[in-house]
Amino acid sequence: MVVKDSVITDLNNRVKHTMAVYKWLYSISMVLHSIVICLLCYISSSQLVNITGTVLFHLGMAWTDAVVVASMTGFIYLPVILMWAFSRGNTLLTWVKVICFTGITLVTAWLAGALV
Amino acid sequence: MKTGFRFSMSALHTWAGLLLSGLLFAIFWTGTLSVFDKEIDRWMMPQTRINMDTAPKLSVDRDIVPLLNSLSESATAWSIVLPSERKPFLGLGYDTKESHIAKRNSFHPVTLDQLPASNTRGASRFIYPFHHNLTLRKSNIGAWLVGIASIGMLCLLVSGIVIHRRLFTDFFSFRVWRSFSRGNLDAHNLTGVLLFPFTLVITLSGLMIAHLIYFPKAPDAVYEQMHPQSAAHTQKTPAKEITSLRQKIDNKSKTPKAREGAGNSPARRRFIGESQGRVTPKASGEFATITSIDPLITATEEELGRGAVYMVRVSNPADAEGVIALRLSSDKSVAQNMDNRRFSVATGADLDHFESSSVTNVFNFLAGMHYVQFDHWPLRWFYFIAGLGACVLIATGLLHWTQARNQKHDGTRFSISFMNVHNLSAVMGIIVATGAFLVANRLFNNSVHFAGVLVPDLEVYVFFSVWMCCVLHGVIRVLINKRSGYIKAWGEQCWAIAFIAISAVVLNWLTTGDHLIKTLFKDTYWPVATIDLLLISSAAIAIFAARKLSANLKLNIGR
Amino acid sequence: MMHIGLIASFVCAYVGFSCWAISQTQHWRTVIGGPFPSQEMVRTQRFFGMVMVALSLIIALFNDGFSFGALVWVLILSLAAILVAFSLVWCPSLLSYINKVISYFYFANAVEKTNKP
Repeated sequence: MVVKDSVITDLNNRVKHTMAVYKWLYSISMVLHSIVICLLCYISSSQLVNITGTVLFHLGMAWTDAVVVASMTGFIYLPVILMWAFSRGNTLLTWVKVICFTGITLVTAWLAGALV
Repeated sequence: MKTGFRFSMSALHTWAGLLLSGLLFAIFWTGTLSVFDKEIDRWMMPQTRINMDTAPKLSVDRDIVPLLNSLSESATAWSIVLPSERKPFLGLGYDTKESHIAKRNSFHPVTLDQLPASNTRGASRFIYPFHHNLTLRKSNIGAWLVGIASIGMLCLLVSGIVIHRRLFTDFFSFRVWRSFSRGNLDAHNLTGVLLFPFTLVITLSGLMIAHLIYFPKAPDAVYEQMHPQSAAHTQKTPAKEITSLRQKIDNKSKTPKAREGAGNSPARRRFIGESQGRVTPKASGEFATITSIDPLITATEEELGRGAVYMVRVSNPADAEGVIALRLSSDKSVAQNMDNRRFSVATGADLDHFESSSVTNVFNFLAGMHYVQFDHWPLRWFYFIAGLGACVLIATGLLHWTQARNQKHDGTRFSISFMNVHNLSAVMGIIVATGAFLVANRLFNNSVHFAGVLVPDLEVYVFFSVWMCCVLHGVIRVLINKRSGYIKAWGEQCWAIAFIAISAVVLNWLTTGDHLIKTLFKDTYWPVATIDLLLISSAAIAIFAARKLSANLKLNIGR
Repeated sequence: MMHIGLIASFVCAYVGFSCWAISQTQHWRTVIGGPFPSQEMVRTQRFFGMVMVALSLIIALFNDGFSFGALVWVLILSLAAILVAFSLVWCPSLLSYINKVISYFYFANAVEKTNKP
């Protein structure tokens, strides 16, 4: 009986140790995930700002006014994109949609000649 | 596992709040103080406590131009900031033959004697810059941190509204007589919902003001549509060429602003010049005597109202191509006034004025709502009270998270102990440090040096050192007693605030002779009286809080 | 003159919000006590509250012009609502007095303060 108990205790300790290690890994990976998602959201919002400025300029607005309006709307885009990105708990889905969205904005900016 | 939009927003609100609230409290606290930055400056710079009620209006031609001529020969630019109610001294900026870095000095508005050096950064050169860039100016690191916190604040505000279940039912609820957690959460909801328009607009407008920092490529992207070759040149210019260009500009003028400007692309420089009317005219080399400036100011004020001109900027004052720019004050409107009137130095003839476009005026309105430079005292006080409300919002949010876990875990978890110390440092630490900043100012009494260190720098060191001491105090208290050490630390720091606030009022009296009876009744001077009254009120609130916490602590120990 | 207009605007906003607050069940019990009024009375009370808030806006705009007035009004609303919340805690009798005055003008049978439970 004493041998059986010590095996169980040993196993339990091993599981606890692994979970503790994984818990730290999980925390670090969640932090990195959040930072990278936020960076991608920022990149997509800044491309949207460039696209907005370009479109407004081509619609006839003075270039300085177009820059001002586009920059102001950028601060609406960014929180909306961030909240959209973090609106679902599924990590993989978040990556897919944020990467797709950032790609779309980069391509659109390139097509509009606004990729700087 | 819980799912859904509301749950995700709750998680976002929690995590963004935990990570950013400390920084957000510092930003909102210093921002709230910046509403009265000029009044705090009067308190910290006794030599500038000048009553403008009886001061006659200065004549630029008779009083100021001869003074500038005696101070600087062959200056390339003059800045004349006319005295006003909130800045009751004449501010002159001028460069000299020896150095093109502009000197800025203050002069008495009546006697025109140079005022003694204030030897302090005061609120306008420490508390206000801390608010928008944490005084970390290198590569705009501080501004970026503030920007990240501000975007986080926008997400926090919206997510907070989303997750607030009983928005209208609890609209006026403040159940302070029930448990601390209930009262605290009600305070958080109350300030969050009822001050939502204020906090949303103040955060958004703060971000928009610094749009060139956060979206630096926007001018380049649009400029490229106009001038594809210029934009291509900007992008393809090798790094070496930009560095050597930067060095040349740095050698010419070493002010930090110039150093920042040296890194600007042509698109950015043109954007700043065209959207704000800030153009540096070039000298012709031909000598000319400066024309009379007073009639220009009088004509402008007849058109736009008395006090419309707050600053006169003369570029190349002894040159035929020199320009006199009258900058218009933002006193009478919410919108920040970027317009100016420009005249020739030689003839006084009208040159092209700058008027903001209607789109830029929308931006100026939002910027003006944030800068609060208008002349409307009740509105200024509303901003101050709302700013304090926003600080309460952030503090109660932090306390809500930690209190729920303190009750459940009783000091056994590191993360909760860490957050207890974090809350104390973020909320109480900066308040104690601000008080210490004021006390240090009165103790050093505007002297130049103390123990071999410049006093303006020493005051800042005191601010940060006291803040660090508050952090250390929190750590020690929590280590001694994980369960209720943080309550004791909060109480002790409340007593510290009360002591520091009263000391500041007493030191102001002892070092300047301006006690409350004098500034309120005998020789009324509202800026100093108001700061003293606010300090006394803070002390009263701190003492009340300390006593409540002490009673709460006895109850906890008695449990 | 400017300050009188501001004070008037603030008072209107305060009265308006107090009408809204009292029309809610939990605050009715705190301030008035007794049986909760009919839906019609609640609707009238809320309508009156809206009218007072609108009047507060008009006074603010008239007093300070469009840009200052609108900005002042938004802040007045926030601060008045917070003051109503504080009044519900620390001086509900003030709100019951306001309700009595309003009831005198608008409601057929004035609601009398009964003993609180």
